[in-house]
Amino acid sequence: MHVYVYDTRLENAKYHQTLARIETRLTDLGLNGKIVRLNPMHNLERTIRDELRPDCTIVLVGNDSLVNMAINILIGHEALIGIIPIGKDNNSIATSLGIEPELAACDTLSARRIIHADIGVANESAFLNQLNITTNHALIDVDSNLSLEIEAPTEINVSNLVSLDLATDNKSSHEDGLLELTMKTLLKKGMFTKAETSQTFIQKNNFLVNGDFTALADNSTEIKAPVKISVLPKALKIIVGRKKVI
Amino acid sequence: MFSKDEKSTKETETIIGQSVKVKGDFNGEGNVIIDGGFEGTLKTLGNLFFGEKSNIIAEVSGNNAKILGSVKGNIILSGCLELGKNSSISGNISAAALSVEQGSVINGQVSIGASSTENTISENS
Repeated sequence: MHVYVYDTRLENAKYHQTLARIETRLTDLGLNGKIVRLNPMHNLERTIRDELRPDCTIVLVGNDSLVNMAINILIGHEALIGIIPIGKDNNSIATSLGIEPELAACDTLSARRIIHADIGVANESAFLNQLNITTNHALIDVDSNLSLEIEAPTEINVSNLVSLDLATDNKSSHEDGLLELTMKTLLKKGMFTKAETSQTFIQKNNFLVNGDFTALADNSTEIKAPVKISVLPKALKIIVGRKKVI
Repeated sequence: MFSKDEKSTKETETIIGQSVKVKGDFNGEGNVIIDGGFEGTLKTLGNLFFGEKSNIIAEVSGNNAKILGSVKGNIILSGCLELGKNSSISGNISAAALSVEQGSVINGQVSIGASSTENTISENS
């Protein structure tokens, strides 16, 4: 059985035509099911808890923030997750999983390519794709063995599924039980020289990042420092597209 | 040892960039590239590349290594060691083969050859 959870922003009239086309396509594919429109009366947590059954596929219709909120609720449950991304913005999770927006996502649902994906955990929050930090100073403990000190403007990216801008060709995998930490540090720039960056890359499963910053998980959830990051191996069943990057 | 860019990023497990200082014990299996600072112990089954601005204060062991920066500590390799023109080593070296460019500085004992490397590694382990 499919349960379609519509993001609150889809109440906007500009999405009605898109949703109508998606619903028609799902009916054609024989995938029609219950539709729950999130609003103050139907919050995500209650909706998911009410609908969770062993044979149930929860299909999240929206963008990264809806998927991020949902995985935080679904950790530890057996439910299968599908995603129908709407629009082109803030859909990095769906892109990493090879799910194209709107109508094409219905065909992905129909094909049912299922993976057991790792989940990243930052403090108490889960993330599926990546965690981003921008800071001028940070101290990072890696697996309690190594400590890295940064004293320059740095973008830190901890990836669970895929690192799109890696300094290495070492591919991350959705089920390797590892996280990839990449850092781009701005080197001192002269008056007449271009700013250069140095890159750092470490693949491990536990990081503790200290500093004065707020991290952003899956482009949606803010997490205050210090951030303890770990990974839950193969914690989520999810339907992916044919062209998944992971 | 390292492909066209001198430092291959393929199969590289760890890269430490310039302006990053690392302290502690590193145990790995893949290639390691360091352009910043490292203090502690550094062991890998893969190859090592230390860039021109690297500053390593550590006991180092690995397969092959190319060093362009400064290392204070003993180096034990099962393969070849390549020292660049401005490299500086303060410590003992044990490797199967050694190549030294003019301008490189070594302060310490150098032991070259497959048997000496195996002996040194087994003694240390």
